[in-house]
Amino acid sequence: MTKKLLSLVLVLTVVALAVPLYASAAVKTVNVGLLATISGDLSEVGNMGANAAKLAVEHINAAGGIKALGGAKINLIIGDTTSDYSQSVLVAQRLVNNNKLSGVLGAGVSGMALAVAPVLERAGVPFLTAAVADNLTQLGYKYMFQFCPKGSQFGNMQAEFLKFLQDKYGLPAKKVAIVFENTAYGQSTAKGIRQLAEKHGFEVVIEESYPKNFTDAAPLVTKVKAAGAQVVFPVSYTNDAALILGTMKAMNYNPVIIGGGAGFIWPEFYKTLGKNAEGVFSVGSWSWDTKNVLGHPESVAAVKAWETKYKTFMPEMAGEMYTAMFILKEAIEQAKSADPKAIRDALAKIKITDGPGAMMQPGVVEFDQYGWNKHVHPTIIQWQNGVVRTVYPVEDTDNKVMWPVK
Amino acid sequence: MSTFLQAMTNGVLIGGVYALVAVGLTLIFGVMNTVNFAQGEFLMLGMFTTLMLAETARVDPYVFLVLVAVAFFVFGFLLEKYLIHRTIDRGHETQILLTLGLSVLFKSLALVIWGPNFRSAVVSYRLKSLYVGGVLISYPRLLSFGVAVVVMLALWFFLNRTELGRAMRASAVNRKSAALMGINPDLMYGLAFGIGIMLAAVGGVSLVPFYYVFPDVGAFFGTIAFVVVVLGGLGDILGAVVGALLIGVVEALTAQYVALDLSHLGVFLAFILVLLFRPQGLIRGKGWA
Repeated sequence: MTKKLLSLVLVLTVVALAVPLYASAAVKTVNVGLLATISGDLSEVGNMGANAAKLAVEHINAAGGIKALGGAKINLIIGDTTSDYSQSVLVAQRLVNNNKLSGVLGAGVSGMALAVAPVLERAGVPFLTAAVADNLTQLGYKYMFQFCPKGSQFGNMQAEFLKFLQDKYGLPAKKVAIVFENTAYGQSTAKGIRQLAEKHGFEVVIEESYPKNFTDAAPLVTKVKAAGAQVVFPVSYTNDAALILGTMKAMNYNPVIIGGGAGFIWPEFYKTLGKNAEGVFSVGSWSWDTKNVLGHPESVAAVKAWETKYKTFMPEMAGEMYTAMFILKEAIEQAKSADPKAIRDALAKIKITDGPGAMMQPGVVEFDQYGWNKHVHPTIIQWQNGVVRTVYPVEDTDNKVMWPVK
Repeated sequence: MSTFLQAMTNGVLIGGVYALVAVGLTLIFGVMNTVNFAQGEFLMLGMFTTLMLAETARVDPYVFLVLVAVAFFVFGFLLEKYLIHRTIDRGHETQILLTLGLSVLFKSLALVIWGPNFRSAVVSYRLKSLYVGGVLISYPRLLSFGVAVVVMLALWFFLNRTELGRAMRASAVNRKSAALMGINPDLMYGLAFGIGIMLAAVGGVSLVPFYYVFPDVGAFFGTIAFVVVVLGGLGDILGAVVGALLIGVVEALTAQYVALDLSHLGVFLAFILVLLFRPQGLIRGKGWA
């Protein structure tokens, strides 16, 4: 009995000694996880995000690390979720099991964010996601923070922008067409656009679906052209978009194109379409030349660093992951701890208005009670001379719309 | 009007590829009385082979047209000699099981080797097209149609103007009499199967510049070939050519006037109608064979 008591006392002493020791010892590195689709058919977007996160870590560490933790360096641990949702859950599980993480970034694809969120919630690790699904923050997750615009804002912004083109440039657009791939994503997005277009007083003259990865857009374009659509909202990934836009140009049909983001704003889009991409509009979560990026020297440096390293403008997902890393860094600074719970609490009441952490428009990051960055809104970009340029909303940019679209 | 012409053009152009695959199928059936259920998979293998060669050498897929054609002819010839031949006198069930098995085998192999993803070749003219009188003519499709026309003419010449070709037709008409006239039937079987496979592979090569390459691509073209062959009359080469163009046009018209994603529905609906009302085939020409 005494022996047991003695050992208990001994253990308690060790624990009592060790706890303050652990807490006060300077944290040398802070582990941050990144979940990205490095391989598979979504590898393009995954790699953009991963490269940006690496760049952000490089910049933070070079500038002296996390000051509140005595200059602790960030150690980025990347988990390749592949492009398979079911795989992503296992990868997330492994990431949190094998590492002591202070936060996790990534999973920009909505389906994937939905899949990995419960894993991070159970592990109690703050999760900053760039996914756009509306319902993400309505599921009651305490550790998930959505710092980018929501999907429903996209359609609204597209319709609002069309109205702007009408008022400012006299675009005689009454007739709009919606073309979409016949998948769940295509159908739901198309439905949203239709409702908004009608609400804003436009006439949807044709709503045409096509099989994903089809190889002949002539029947589709013939129909849209015959319907007399002046504006086309395509809901497509890069390959199909290239086929549709290429066919339109070949048929001397030049409607105003307002894309739905993703494939429409990645550098690959221009590589595939070349000149045919010129003048195409799209909605997006982030873009590299808004006022709140160009207004902060640190953010400008980030954008420039990307350009030098990767020979393209900084694309949406890259900007988002760069921002996310700085939001997390700011939260760690304010929490003055590498403890995920403390960081979560810091994120919940954070307000960032300066530096790369505030790169999302309108330049303020503040999460509502559900973990959504309540100030954020999407932007509209236009392809001008091979680069995406922000053209709307006007408070975000001084850039002019290239008009008329040729 | 231009909408209608557009649909007709689309239909005729893709009909060329359908003709290549279907003529191969009907030729094999005509000479060997064997239904090759793996015809679509030979097209798929032809596509992957071409894509791999083109990606490795970084040149146009058409560069490998002759090479792939010869390779698949030899492949088909040997396959017949050592495998299909054993089933020739064993009735249709055995033949069907064998070719169906081959089709599953090829598909699985492609899945293991190349993975399930959609791939496409990098060709500068993938999206190039001519715009004539309100009708868009896709350049790679026009090219594939040109290949089909040339190959069909060559086949016609072979079957009608050469000793070997005439021997093959004789075997198709009556195997026993042909053998009595001194024609070696085993050689004819090998030749027919080789040529049949070669035609599918050539169709595959000409698809690479404008179509996606994936392990399941043969399923669609194979099915279309069956529809075409039944439409044109089993074993009837001219019938298959006409049937292929017809199916192409039906598909394009459905895509244009009904719905893009229902284009195959039009094809199979037409097929069912033909089976109901003219099961002997639309065209009863017995041309070429």
